[in-house]
Amino acid sequence: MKKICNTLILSLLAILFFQCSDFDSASPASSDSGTSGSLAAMSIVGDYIFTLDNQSIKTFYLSEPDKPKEVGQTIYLDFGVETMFPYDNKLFIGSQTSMYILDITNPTDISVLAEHSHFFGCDPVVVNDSIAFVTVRSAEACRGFVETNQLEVVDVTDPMQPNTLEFIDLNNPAGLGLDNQYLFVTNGDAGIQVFDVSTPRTGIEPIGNIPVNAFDVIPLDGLLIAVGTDNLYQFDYTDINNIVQISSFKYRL
Amino acid sequence: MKKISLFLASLTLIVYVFSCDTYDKSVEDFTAEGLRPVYISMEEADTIKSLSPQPINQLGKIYYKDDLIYVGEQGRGVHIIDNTNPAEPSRIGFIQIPGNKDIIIKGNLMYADNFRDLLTIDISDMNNVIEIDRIADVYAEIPQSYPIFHNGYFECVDPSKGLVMKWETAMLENPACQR
Repeated sequence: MKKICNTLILSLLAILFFQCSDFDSASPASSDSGTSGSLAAMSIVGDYIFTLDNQSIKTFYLSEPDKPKEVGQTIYLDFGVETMFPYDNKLFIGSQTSMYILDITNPTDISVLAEHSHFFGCDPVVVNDSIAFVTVRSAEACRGFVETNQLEVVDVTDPMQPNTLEFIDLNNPAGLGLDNQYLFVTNGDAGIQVFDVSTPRTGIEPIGNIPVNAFDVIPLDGLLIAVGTDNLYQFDYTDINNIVQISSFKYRL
Repeated sequence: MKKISLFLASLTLIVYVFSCDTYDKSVEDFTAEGLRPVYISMEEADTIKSLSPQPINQLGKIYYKDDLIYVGEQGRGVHIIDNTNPAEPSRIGFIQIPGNKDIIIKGNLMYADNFRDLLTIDISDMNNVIEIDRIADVYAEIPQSYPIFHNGYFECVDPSKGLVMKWETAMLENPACQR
């Protein structure tokens, strides 16, 4: 949803300023829905809701928005699916062992295009054009057994055959957020890592670090919202080389 | 006779000391970190309502729409934070949705999981949200007797206390359950 909204906002801006736009989200984006963090397990794409429990995906049609109606078939995946990211008529599902890519072109008949396996760990996914970014970590809460803390960069140009381009070692990656060429990855005590991902095929480049402990982020066209255990942080990243903290809202008094 | 008495006394002492030792070992107290179930009564489990701002304990997922930040409170519901001025966010309320993990919003309607059910909630008036639709058993049954995705000690579940709303980390005394 995040990408769709970002794309939509940027598309609107692009239309306003340049009277043209080559940003293209094939998903029927809905202007009146919000933006999820990367740990979301529920999505709205157009008039359809996708729900995810530990092992299956269901589809609901909002012909009457106040009365969702289940349509299509329940798709069963391996146990341990956790996060969902819709992009370009596809759903990217993060599980404890894999990233699944589903075709939702016809929401009433969705199907699995690929299962891209990796080590045990929790793994939200964000997607930009033809590249998926996945965090893999071995946190205790995820029942992980393999010591893995990485950001995986996957070429999904061919959604039937995802191809890993790169693994980047991190400390304790969790949520992540993408705004065009900038990727924000929460990394536990090590802060939020900022990457320039404009050339994913030749390697993504770390360009900064925001020294706060957060577990998920939402980048909103210049405003970064980061949620941590004790604080809700907000940053202005209009100038990516000079990210400025706007506020730190302490939950616990 | 004296020797026999002494022998018996010694024997008794040995048996006593030995049994004492065994006894001590069997009830030796220990404390371990693990998970403890937090219960909700059956009556409250499907009650959706607006509340005043609530203490924030264990945060979950975030959602952003129209200058409002929705932050999940694991298993209890959603905190609503007014972010009209990002320099000064303020808590304006809480929506109680027991067993909740995810929300999404379209227009004035919020879709949310409430344990196994999928709800549609009218949030036009944040101070008086209304459940308008409920689809039962959308979500797979959540194990009630143990914490999913957990290795280690946990406090055994007592079903008479209600539904397990969530699990929280705690120091447990003599935990009898383990996975």
